[in-house]
Amino acid sequence: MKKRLGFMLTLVLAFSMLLSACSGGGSSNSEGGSADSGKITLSYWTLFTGGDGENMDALIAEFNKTHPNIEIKNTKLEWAEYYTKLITAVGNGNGPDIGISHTSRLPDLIEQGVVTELDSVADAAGIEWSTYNQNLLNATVVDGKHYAIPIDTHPFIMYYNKKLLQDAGLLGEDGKPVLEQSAEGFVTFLSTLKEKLPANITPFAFESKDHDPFRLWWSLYTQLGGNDIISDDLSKVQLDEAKATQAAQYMQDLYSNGFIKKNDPDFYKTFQSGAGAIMMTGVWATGTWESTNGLEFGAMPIPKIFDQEAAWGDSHTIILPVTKDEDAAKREAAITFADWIADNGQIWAKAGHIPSKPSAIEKQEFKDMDYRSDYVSVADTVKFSKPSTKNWQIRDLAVMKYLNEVWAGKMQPADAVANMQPEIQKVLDQ
Amino acid sequence: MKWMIRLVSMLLALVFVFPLIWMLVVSVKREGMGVTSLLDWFTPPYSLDVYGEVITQTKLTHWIWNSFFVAVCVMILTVLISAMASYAMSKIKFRFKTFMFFFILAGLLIPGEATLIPLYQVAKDVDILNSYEGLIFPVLASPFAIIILKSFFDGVPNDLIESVQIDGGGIWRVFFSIMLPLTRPALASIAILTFIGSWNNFLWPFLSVTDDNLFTLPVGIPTLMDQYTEDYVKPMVINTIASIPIIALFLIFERQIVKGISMSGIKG
Amino acid sequence: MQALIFLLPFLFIYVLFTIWPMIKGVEMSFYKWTLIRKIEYVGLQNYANMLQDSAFWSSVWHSFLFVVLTTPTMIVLAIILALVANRKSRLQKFYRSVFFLPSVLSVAVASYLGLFIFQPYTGLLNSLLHLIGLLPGNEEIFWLSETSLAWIAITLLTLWWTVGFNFILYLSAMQDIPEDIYEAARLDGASDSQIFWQITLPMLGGITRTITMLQIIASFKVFVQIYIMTGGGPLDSTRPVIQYIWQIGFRQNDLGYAAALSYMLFAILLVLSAFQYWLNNRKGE
Repeated sequence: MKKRLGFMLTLVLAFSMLLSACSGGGSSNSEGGSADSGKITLSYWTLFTGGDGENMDALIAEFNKTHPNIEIKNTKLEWAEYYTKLITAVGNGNGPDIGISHTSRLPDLIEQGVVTELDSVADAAGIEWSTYNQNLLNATVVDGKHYAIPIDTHPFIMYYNKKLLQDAGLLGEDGKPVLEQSAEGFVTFLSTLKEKLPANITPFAFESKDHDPFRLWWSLYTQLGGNDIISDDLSKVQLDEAKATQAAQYMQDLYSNGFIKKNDPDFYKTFQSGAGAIMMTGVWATGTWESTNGLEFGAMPIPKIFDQEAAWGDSHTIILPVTKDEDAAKREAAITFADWIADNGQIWAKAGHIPSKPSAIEKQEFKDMDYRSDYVSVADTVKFSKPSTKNWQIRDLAVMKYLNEVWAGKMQPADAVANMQPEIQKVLDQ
Repeated sequence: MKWMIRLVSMLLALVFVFPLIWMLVVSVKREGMGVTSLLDWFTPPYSLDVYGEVITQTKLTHWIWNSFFVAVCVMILTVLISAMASYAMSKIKFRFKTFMFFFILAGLLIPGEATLIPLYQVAKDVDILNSYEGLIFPVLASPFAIIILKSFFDGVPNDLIESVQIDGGGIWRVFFSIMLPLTRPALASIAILTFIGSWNNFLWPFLSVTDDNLFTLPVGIPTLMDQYTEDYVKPMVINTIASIPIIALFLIFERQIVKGISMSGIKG
Repeated sequence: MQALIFLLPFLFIYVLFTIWPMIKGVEMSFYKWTLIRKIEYVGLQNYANMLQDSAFWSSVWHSFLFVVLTTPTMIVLAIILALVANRKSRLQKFYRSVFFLPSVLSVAVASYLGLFIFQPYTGLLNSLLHLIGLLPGNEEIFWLSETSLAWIAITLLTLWWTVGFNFILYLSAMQDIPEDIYEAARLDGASDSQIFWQITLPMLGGITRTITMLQIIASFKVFVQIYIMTGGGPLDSTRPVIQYIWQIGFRQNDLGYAAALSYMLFAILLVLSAFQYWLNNRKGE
């Protein structure tokens, strides 16, 4: 009997040791807390990669250096998974102290209860809301409460390779493209590029599906006077079919006329390596091009192809997600960080973004940077989406899906526009 | 005819290894060379710089460790708790045994994929999301292992058990010194299949973990990959580093692995 | 009592993480339920939505299609590979290792290899076709952008990556066939192909049923390689049901609806199992 007890004891011990071995490593809880030596450690989740990521790292390093009491720890998440991970983590109490949100995504995060309102902590930290670009700021205010600190605008613009344009005789004396700002003018411009440049050069380095084509389509649709795709009360699909179709048709022709390399897996690389004459994407590419040796490029607003100047754009904001403890000191440190980032918009602008504080745009450091001033004006003509909680779902589940078929030449623009409307409504009704 | 078969065999083998050879060759190529033809991959310049970069600047090696750690824990614990339960089902008399048998058997019909969504909520309720516990415990219960092991335990003669008991050996002695050694091949088979299953488990780690210190390989790798790239060097370095340990393990334990799989077929 | 001690660790885990979620899901499916919290009771609304959700049903169909594409091809390929590796030759062991090798790769590694093999311009397959002149230099096959080609690519990658397991099962079954049966047949003057069709293949009947059974269920649960290679596109035409449920639950933040869909998935898998059980018993007689 005694023997048996000893054996069982050993067994239980062994089993529990095994269990603790298997969970022992699990104590890597990322929360540093504000425990020792009065230093506040804040976890910060971002969705920035590439040039954006490096600039944000530099900003954080600078902030940590100049603010000895606060330490920001950056976790970079994959862009496509960022919001799912953020909502999930906040939902189970493992969210970060600071996060990033696009303005277009903010209404959804507010409704989900992911973000906290900022007015009291902003007062405590002495944030001057009036120092922000009011257009950007307004998009972050819901029912009179502030929910986010905008740090930039990032519109959709056009880049061009100066050397290739020169070869094609399309670069003016002033170093700007010779391009008539009209529907025919842009096509003529591309045709000339196609004719004059070698066959292995793509006139228009462009994505073949998803985001950038959507952004161009949105830009053209709004240039035609289209006013978002949902009604002002955010409950109904309200797509101007004729305009949406016209914009899609125009773009489908660009694809089918061979101006764009078919299914280009790496359109950034195409432009970067000098194999594409022009390219369109968000301003965040500026920093990448600048750091590319031997790439002589220029930046400009996208051409006014239709009736009025307009372009797709969005804005990055800093948010304070809901956390378990709602530690006031942490929150104050977090909002101090956010305001500091906005103050130092000229550094963030190195990635290509347009700062959210007019004072940052006025700084000599910003003015001394090339390219930015060529497109800083776009900020005024950006057409943001309406503050719907469904913006991203509408785009991902309904609009992009059908437009991709149009770009691939598998669907008529009119059919795609007709098909996407009930799907948008379905998303809105959910 | 003979040489035809030999040729086809060689071709098939080539098709199976070629992607792996390609992966290896591309991974040692220097980055940013603008490859235009397949032959370009197989000509210099070569460089190992990206290996250094990936090892020092990403958490890939840590994720390999996580994957192993989780797989080993899942393997040991699954074998242990399944063997214990199977032993009870096979050799110990108790009330409601038939009910218990069908209760466990029912689990065979509940695929993990169908309970994933509520499992997420349950894991959230018991607060094990984002932890090694959360990666390990929810996948331990395997009715399949119990059914297999029970059939092996059934084959252990009762005389043997009784002779140990006559010598004064308790139930644990019987379990550890008779049952487990006698069914080693079956246990090994379960262990190997469980290890591979855990090694390749994607959905649960993908859903339950948001902290990149806890990522396993299948969840971590996509976060390093840039889908829209024509420069395959870095992705292939990542693939190669991720594959070396498991390929080495396979070559060492090939005989046991092959045996383990064959056995699952006989009983499955 | 003793039995309970031995059963307890398993039962604890089993009830908490298998049985309880199965019940919890019922509650969830009656609510609007997000990643953050329970929102409101909606009764049978989620189930009613499911019946009209064409995207869901087409994702179910895609999973079936994947089963149909992979199961027969998998079995034929596994038998061929096993025949190759079962031949008396110095390379016997080499063949066994080579055919199984891809199966040990992590699912993410295998899927990314698939992506890079089938990518246009620089992908392995198109480069190879260019090199040997089967594809003109200025033309590309867009494997992952056309629905039918995408299915071919996904099927090929899946075969390459997972056939190893079935191959081993066949190989060991072939090695279990007693040598004297072959010898007797050869003495009677049977040719190699006669031996294969009349002796080897019939002797593999049992293992083929087992493999078919496991393969159908396993294939129906496909997700990762499709998710990584095509993301379910183009136009969701390769999106399998597991991906759809995951998107509803986590991308669209609607766990309640996803739970309801999960019960449909459960029902389908149950029917598949029952069908196989019936088939197996009938053939077994």
